[in-house]
Amino acid sequence: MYVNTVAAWIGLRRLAPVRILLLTLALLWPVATNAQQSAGTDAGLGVDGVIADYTVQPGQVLEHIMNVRLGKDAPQALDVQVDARGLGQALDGAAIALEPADDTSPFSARTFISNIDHTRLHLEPGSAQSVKATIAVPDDVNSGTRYADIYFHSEPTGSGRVGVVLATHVTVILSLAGSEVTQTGSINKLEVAPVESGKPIQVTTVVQNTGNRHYRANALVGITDSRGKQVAQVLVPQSGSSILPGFPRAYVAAFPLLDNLDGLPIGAYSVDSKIVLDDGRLLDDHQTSFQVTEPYDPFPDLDPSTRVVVKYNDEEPKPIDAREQADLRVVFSDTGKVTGTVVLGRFKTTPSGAPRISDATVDGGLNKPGLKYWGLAVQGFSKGIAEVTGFYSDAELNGILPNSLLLAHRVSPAPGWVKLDNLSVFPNAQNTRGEVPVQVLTASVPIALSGDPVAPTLLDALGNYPVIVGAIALVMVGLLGGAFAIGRRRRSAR
Amino acid sequence: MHSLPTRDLFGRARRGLVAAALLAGVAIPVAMPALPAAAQAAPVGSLSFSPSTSNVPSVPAPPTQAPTFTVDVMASASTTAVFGWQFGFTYDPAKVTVTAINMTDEFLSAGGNTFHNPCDFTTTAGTVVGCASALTSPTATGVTAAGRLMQVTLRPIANGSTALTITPGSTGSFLSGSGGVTLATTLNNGTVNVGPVAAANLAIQNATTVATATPAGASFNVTFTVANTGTASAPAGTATVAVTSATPATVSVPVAAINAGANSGTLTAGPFTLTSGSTLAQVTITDGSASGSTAYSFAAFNSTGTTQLTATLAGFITLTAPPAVSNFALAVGPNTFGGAGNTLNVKSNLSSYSVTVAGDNAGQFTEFDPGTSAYVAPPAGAQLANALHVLTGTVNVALSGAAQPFVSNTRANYAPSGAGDNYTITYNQQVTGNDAPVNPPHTYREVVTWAAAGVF
Repeated sequence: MYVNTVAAWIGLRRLAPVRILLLTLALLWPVATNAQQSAGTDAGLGVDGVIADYTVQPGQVLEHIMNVRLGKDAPQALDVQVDARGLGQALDGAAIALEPADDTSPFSARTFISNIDHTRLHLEPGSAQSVKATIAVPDDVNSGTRYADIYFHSEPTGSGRVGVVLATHVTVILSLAGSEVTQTGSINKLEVAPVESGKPIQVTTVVQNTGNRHYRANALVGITDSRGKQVAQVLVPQSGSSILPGFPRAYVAAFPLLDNLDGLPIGAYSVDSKIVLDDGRLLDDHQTSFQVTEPYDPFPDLDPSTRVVVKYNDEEPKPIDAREQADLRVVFSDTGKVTGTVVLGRFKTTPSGAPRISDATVDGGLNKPGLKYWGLAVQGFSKGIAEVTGFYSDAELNGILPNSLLLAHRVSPAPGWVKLDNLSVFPNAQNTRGEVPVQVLTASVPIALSGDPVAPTLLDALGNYPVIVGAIALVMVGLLGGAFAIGRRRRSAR
Repeated sequence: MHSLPTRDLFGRARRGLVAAALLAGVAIPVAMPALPAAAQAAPVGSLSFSPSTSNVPSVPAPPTQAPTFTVDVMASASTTAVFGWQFGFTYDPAKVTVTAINMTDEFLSAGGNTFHNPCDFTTTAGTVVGCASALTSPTATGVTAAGRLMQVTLRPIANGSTALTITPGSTGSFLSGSGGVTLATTLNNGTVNVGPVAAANLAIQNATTVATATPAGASFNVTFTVANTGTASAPAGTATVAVTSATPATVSVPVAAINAGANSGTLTAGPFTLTSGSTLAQVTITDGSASGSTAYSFAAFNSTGTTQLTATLAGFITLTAPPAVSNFALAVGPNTFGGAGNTLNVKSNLSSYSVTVAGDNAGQFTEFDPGTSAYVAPPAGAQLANALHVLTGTVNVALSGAAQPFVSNTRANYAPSGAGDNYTITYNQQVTGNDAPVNPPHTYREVVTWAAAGVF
């Protein structure tokens, strides 16, 4: 804080440049470098017995033995704490080790964990420790399933910028023998995000497990227009662990509508969401409606005359050579078989929205000019890499150094424009090439060709200032004329 | 018929000569070298002390004398009729002394009249010689049943141990047969322990099972340690590892001699392989009277299609975090660090796993005092306005205080090499012109929590 004090004392606190300079200096203050932990071949914190799934009787006492070990290549010893926690889940399915105050589920087995024989461990590299949890099922618990979390977590490493905590959840599932399993659920939220051209329509379904046991379920979401015609349908498979009883889970369906590039006209639409168990049983069905107040265009900036649409039907996607239409070539790898659609084309103008590629890096740009822009989007792809090759002509370079050319895509809102991976430039072939994961391309991503301008010469620079150049020329002429006149006078005097 | 008295006379004379010779031998000790082992016949019986080891209380402080105790000398049943015996024994006179010897000789007396030559235990300290007995009846046919030869009374002198070592009689023999023939005899020496005794005490420790492959499968090794918790060295021996529901059923592991208070180091037996259809092997390790147990469990995780997992134990997750970051200098604008070499590695044998990421202080870098290892939270300290972003591939998570899904994978996509899944981690931190600097040695700090869980 002393920097602020000094700045205020010298009356410069409100001067942003000085403040930024001082902040930079302070942040750059050297910090002692700790030994860097590295992900060696055997450097991790491992736990055996991470799922304790038992069928139990009322009053039964059982022991669950876990083995925790630290790899021999770990750069330092690790202190590990073992806690009995409640097992919780976030809306997105993330496992949460609930503190006692937050563990209010009637299905909690946290208090059944009567003892953990080692709650604090000091592990040297290469060492291991057995940990035994004693689980006592109360006499009066005789039906359903109970859950708990034996939570292993290390002390933070280092004291520098970013410390690290390693943790492992040991999931405890106690099924009371002979009890009836109830698998029920209820959709308690179905909403559509505001519809915006260029972005997939997003529908969120939240379902609550109202049964007495965990289960896996998928969401089948469809959009229907005002005449009852289905516009699109998406299956959202469950991700992460099963839904615990008493906990909600969100399913987010995205509709990029790449197979309907005409978009949606203004009007009322309805959404139907079904939650279906893995075995096909319907858990719950819910409908809602939404309004499209402006015509919805899935790819609003794309020049229709350059647009290329390629569809795949359960096949490895072949390369797309769209040089003739859009100066672009796309080659996919590691995608597996795909049933889906690829849409690409050139943008008519600079893509709308922020940031622009010419913006300062502070604002998410690359501080470089954009030469040309493409749009590229995929639907139905789940993995893989797209190698993108953008072609240009010399006339399009507009003073940009060919060897500095690059491709970048925009991730909004942060971090903004990002260079493609494995960039390479081929000036003789007049193209530049880079790679991008296909998951990035599910949101109609703009791709830009950019580079560094040729450094201006002094004359180039002065070319922008003709008055100054004229003045300098007059001065030079005057000096030369004066020298010539003086010379003539001296020769005449002799 | 007249020949019978003559034969009987000769027989009596022969036995009398045997007794005379025996006793002469006792009376006039003659050094008799032992026969070479290869020439010795198979033993017909044995001589031993009973009890073989006598543990008696410590010697009290003078002038109180330690109480006496007795040790019997026993002959076993023999395969050849025994007509006489002779032997002596030695001991450490600094530890005990023989105070009396009662030649009860129930052994030989069962065969008829006997002649006893008493032992000499007073001439030389620590040495008992001249003990002998022979059947004298001309009709004796010898004895083959076991019995006691004598009862020795001893008094402790000082704490410690001494052996009771059987020595041959004057003719070099121990048990004699008809005609004085030497019968091969097994000798079982005795021991007397006075007071506390130094002894080895073995214990099996740290018994555990280790899968031979990663991810774990049906094969495993057993590791353990043999510790000597006693007060004397333990000789080299052999530990036996026995398993159920796996093959081989037993494995022997040599164990070197272990000093008192030391251990063998980690010993390994195996590999064992679970028999088909078995998911659990019980393991028992024995070394002498020491024993330990452990178990190995492995079952492939299967989903029944309705989310219930049919196997439970032996699932593992190993999480290797990217390194802590110590010296990255933040500046106004976007700050990207980590990247190549900054790897999160996840190994698991579960059907699938997931890893979440969370941050301290809602994911925002907060002023940190290294001296106290504590945050200096606002309003006293500074905190960056924007949360730290953690990225890998297309995943971009803005840290918050809550765990958020980061990466996951299923077994079908695990790295076949078993080296686990590597995720290159990049951090992105936006610093604004309104973010306050901190006064060194304070720094900005954020702790990232990586948590792995099996998917069920």
